[in-house]
Amino acid sequence: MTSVAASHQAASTNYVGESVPRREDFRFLTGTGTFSEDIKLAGMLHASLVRSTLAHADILTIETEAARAQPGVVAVFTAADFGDDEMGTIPTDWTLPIMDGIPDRYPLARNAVKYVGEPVAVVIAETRAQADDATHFVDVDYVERPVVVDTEAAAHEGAPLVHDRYERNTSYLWHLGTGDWEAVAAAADHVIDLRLVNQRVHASSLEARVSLADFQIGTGTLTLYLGTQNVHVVRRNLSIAIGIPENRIRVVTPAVGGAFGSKLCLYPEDVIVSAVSRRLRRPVRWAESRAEHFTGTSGGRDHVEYVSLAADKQGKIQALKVTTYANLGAYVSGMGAGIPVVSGMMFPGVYDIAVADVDIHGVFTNTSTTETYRGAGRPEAAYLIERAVDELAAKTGIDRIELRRRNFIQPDQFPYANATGMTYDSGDYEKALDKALEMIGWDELLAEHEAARSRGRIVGLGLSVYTEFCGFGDSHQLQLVGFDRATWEQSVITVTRTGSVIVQVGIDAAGQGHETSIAQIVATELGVAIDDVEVLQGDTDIVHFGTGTFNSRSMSSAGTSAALAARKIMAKANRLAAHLLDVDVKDLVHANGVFSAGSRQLSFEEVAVEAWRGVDLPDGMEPTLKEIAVFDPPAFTSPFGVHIAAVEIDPDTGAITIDRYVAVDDCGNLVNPKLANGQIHGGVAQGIGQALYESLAWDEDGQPMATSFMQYAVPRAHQLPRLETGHTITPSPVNPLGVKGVGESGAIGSQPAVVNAVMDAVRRRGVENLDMPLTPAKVWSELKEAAK
Amino acid sequence: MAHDAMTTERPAGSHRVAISYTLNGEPVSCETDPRTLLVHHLREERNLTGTHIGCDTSQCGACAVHLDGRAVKSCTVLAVQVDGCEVTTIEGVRGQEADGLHPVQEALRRKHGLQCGFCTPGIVMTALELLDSDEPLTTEEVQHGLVGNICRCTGYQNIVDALVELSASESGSTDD
Repeated sequence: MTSVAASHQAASTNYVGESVPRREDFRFLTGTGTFSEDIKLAGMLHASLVRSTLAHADILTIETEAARAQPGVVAVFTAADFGDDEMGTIPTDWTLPIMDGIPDRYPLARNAVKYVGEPVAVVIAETRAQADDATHFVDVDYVERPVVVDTEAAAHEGAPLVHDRYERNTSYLWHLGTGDWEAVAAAADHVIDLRLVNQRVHASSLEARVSLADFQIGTGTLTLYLGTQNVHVVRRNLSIAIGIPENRIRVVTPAVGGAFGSKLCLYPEDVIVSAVSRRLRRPVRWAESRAEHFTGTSGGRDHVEYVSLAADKQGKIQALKVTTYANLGAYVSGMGAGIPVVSGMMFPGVYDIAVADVDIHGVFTNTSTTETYRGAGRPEAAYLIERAVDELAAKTGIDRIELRRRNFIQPDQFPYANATGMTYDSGDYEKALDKALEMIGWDELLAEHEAARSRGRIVGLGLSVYTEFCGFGDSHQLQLVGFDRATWEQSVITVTRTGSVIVQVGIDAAGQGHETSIAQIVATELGVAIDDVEVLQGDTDIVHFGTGTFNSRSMSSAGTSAALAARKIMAKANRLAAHLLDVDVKDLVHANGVFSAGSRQLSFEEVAVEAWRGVDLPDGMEPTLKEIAVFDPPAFTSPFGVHIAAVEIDPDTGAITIDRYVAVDDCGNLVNPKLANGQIHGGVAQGIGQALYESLAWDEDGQPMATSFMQYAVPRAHQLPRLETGHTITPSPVNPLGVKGVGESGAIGSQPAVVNAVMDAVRRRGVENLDMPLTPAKVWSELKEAAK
Repeated sequence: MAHDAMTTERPAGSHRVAISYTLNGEPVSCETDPRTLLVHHLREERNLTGTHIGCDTSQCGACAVHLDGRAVKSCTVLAVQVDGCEVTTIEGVRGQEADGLHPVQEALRRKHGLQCGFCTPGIVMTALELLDSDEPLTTEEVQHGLVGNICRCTGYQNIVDALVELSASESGSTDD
């Protein structure tokens, strides 16, 4: 068979590396993007939760009669209304093997509450307002118990116990490292010690959480609509919690209004609406208020860290010692237990340090749970090592740039196994550092700052050089530390009769633009126009299997699986085209969607038609162009970069202005530079938010001090500097696309750069340490104190 | 703890109030409850879900709409207050061509001024009012004009750049 190729052969189909505009944008710009709360189902009921007003108490009685009598109320439920088979405990995705299990976490509290905001009862009514109103008629009788909130204090002997079943609040003590710190430190020329607090912060995506459950009595199937980063993990954990098999649960995530790690785990409310919908046989929606979001949805960080470095006269760092107290909250949520450990694995950062001695205490407190939040362990690690290295520079008098250069892992050392058990895939830190220094004009700025200081101004310049890990793998190593999620990602590609391409991919975007970037990869591989490629995700009935969007893995894992599935399609299409043109496969040429052998050509669509028809196929070939590829990454990728901030402090108010900000990030090959830059922008904004403004805190009684955006200060447009971004490109060797990941880098490099800049400004005025957030009041007070 | 959302769309046993107003150019006459907020009226009673609820406390601006041509946070307005007024929501913002984008929307798209898109309708409604000016806006003016809108994804820079550039072009300035 021969034919003339179709018309779209001329245009280039090499989309990877291009800033292709997002196909997602139109619907969000016009308000037609469907978010979870935009879905209405016939007969839908509304849930409102009665939550614990105390941080730690035994529940004596819960009186619900008065609430049941309120207008519009359909039902009121407490834990006593459900057996374990209907509303069981919430599973986690990561329990370390050394932990003595995890405390039972029932969606509705049984017998006791462990933090303010824990669900105690649920009111179901015809309208949301009726449900909200009726919650005030539920009367809970508590007996108060002692409360512990402080992360470090909770680990001490004699602290009030969060859980009776354990003798202490320390859930685990995990040791990492190699070599003899004591011996090295005793012989070292310099030893520095620093105590750092990496405060609790909150992703606070602008869309809070929503869960809408719809149980169908006829089929026994449950559909759960919610904003999540991983529909398949929700399906699995929900199945375990409520006893409906996975093949009768459908989880759908429509548009997600931001997630940043806070929408990965299964939450109590997801289970509650599912169990209630099954009981009442009507759809039930719960929509979180912002106050509930701050008190119930998991936050991140919350580590207290003691770090010491030992170095020789030249500033060569010989050893690192760290003791971390990491707040797990009142329970273990999702991946919460593992984050402090993988943080510890990144403590050496970009430096070649032979000896490390790291103890990590995972601690329970009477606060909401901690979980993955943008960076999840790496921001804490980068902050720790970069603050410590600046401290070492200050102590030794060695220039901080020079000190870093003397300690960098060198390009020929990769893959590099650090002293705490992490292997970095590739890196070239000098190159990124040189680029960043040039972009900001480091030497000129130093001179300007000297001049400014002589006029009494308080100015500072700071940098961070970071590396991190993305793309979660390998699976063997991770399962040794109890990681109970998959590391692979899968894609299925179907080519229809008319040559249009459907990609089903197991990740779930929350604003990253994966419908565009995955389409770029597949269109490039297949040599078709990008508009011919549709990317489907976020529905377990459409995409049957997947692992989800987290750890900046969507390009390295899902992008790779999509590319590999496309390559399988092309291998089959090539064989078929060669058969149709009656030539050997090796004599066939494929370019921009056209298969040719000499003057004879076949378009991609023509081959698709023949595959679909299935009449004229090579021996043994099955009809259709449909392939699946599962990619299990052999190792982590290691993005890296350099961030530099120049700051000025108002001596009268303590307010900090960031005058310049340069970010040079190396995330390997770029699929879509514009979207990658967008990720850096957003990450830096959140990192600066943590450095300067944000804190999720509780008072000593465990009452939350931030329950709205009036107390929890996310940055506004005028509170952020202009970002000057650049990239170096060091391809990852661990996936065929050479991508490393970019979603979290901005949040990792930024906090240490900003705080180091502020420390540079205030250290010479006698301030020895500052903990985030660097609020004007704190900075002003410390400056005043130091001046005494 | 104040965990209740400020949801008021349909209280128990209260009387209904008749209102008539113009919504996206079309006349609307209906009954609503006195305590129903405009945002809940729009989302639940008019099924216009492009207006979003982000914070319940008038901090985030995701619910911004136009009331008689001025941008307001629809969580601060009672539905009964719009009687006799003109209300425009994101669904009423369109470009010249069918299914086309308004220049503000187009500018945000061009500059990658949105990611998750949840704040975007509110940003568009705020920007429309902000750009209603004869003078080109400076970066600082746009930043401060957006002080009532939270975006947690973009870091604002691309949003601000889009609006500054659009403002310059609409004012006939050739400055970038």
